[in-house]
Amino acid sequence: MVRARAESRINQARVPRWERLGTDARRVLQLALAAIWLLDGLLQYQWFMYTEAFGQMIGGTAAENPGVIARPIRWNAALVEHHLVLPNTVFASIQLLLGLGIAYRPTVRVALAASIAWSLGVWWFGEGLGGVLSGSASPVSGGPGVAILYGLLAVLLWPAARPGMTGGEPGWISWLERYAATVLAHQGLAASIVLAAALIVIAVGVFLPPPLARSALILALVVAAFIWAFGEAFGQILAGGATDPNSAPLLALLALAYWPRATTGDNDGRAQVKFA
Amino acid sequence: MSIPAWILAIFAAVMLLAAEVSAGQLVVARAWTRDGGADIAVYQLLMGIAMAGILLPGLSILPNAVWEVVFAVMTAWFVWRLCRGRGAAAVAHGQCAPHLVRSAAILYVFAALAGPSAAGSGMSMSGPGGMSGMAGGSSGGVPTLHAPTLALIFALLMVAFTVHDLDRRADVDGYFHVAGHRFMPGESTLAAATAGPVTPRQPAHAYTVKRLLVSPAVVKGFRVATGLTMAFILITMI
Repeated sequence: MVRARAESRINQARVPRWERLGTDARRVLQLALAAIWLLDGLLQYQWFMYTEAFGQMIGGTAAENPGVIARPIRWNAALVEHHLVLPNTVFASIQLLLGLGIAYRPTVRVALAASIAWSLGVWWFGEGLGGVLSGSASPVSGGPGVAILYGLLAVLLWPAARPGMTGGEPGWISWLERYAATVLAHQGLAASIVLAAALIVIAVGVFLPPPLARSALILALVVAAFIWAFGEAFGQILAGGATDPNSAPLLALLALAYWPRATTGDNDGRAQVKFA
Repeated sequence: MSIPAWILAIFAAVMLLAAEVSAGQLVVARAWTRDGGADIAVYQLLMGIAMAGILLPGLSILPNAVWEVVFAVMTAWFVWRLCRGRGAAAVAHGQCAPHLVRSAAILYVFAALAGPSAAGSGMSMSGPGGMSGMAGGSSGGVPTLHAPTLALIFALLMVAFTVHDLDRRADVDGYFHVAGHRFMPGESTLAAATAGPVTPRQPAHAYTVKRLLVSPAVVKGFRVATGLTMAFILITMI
């Protein structure tokens, strides 16, 4: 028994540091982001993307944008239309590599940094800045663009300088962090799937009738609270040195902004839901 | 215009390589001598060949109906393994469930292919200039699958398993049961168990090949490549 423990310790010591790190809430979110990038890359390989329609779809996002924004979009659309295979294959492969890079711990920083640059590029050249400058951006129609959210997520999920976030905090917060790490230590896949399912429910929920939308938003608040407590250690406010409470309270506020305020009748007598 | 044939050929080549590695694990590393190793190595070998045949029809060696039977048997085998005494533990540690899901996914692909060629031999994914291996009829010359929602669910599971495999240490859950083998400092338990004791009479190159075939990097690479290729097939046939 003693020998087995000693061998285990020796074995652990030989494992690279990045491999010894557990799966905390931040890592689970990174893996969810990696899965979405992988899905994006695979979707980009579909046959439709190898047709001229894809280039036309990109070109359509230039409409009503200022000239300085629209010209590069049209140039990109023309490039894709005239060279169908190579650009799209490159696009798909880059997204595939971003997903693989984020999922593979030694390359997570490089991949997250690259994903920020790539998402900004896609936001401009592929989504026309999400319609922000053309006045057509709406949360219902996907505004301010999907790609910018990838970049935002990459910033939010940037690996912490330390493996955990428990330094200098009160004991009960440290205990919460350790407990969450222990629970998730070998449940990375299950946790990722549960979190992804919850986020999908939340995303879809705002488009549902008010009672269901409220339920989805309550779920969003619960998820934000969970992330804030177990993933962000309450923004490390109590550890000193924090300049803000981290992202979870903002995500909760964002969720509340979608709260269906009231149902009123418009001029045609139809019911109309107003958001807060 | 459809998916270029050379992209499908790249994926097919990766799958053939994976099949070769599995065959090597079976023969060189004598997987059948390891508890729980032979069935998975055989399954991976069949998986690699079948998926290469899906992508390129010229590589298809069996009629679709035969593949359906093969993977139905494999799926049933993994279900049985899960239901055995240590099934719950296997599920908890993710040892058998991914193989079961992958096996069920490829069974679904063979069973759910639409198009007139589905009953014939070779795969049904090729349209004119499209997925060279896939002959079937749909938009863009690429075939579609029946019950596409199921295809999406399987694809999402494949992506999830791929991300999970990339994130975890490769030798935590190896293909070979490592109990009863002595620990070799500086090496993964998987490689140590599979390589076994080194005797002076054992040729050095054989030892190296063995270690390479069952090294954590190769094991992890195989899983990632297989999962990604299966997800590719499912997504592009939705």
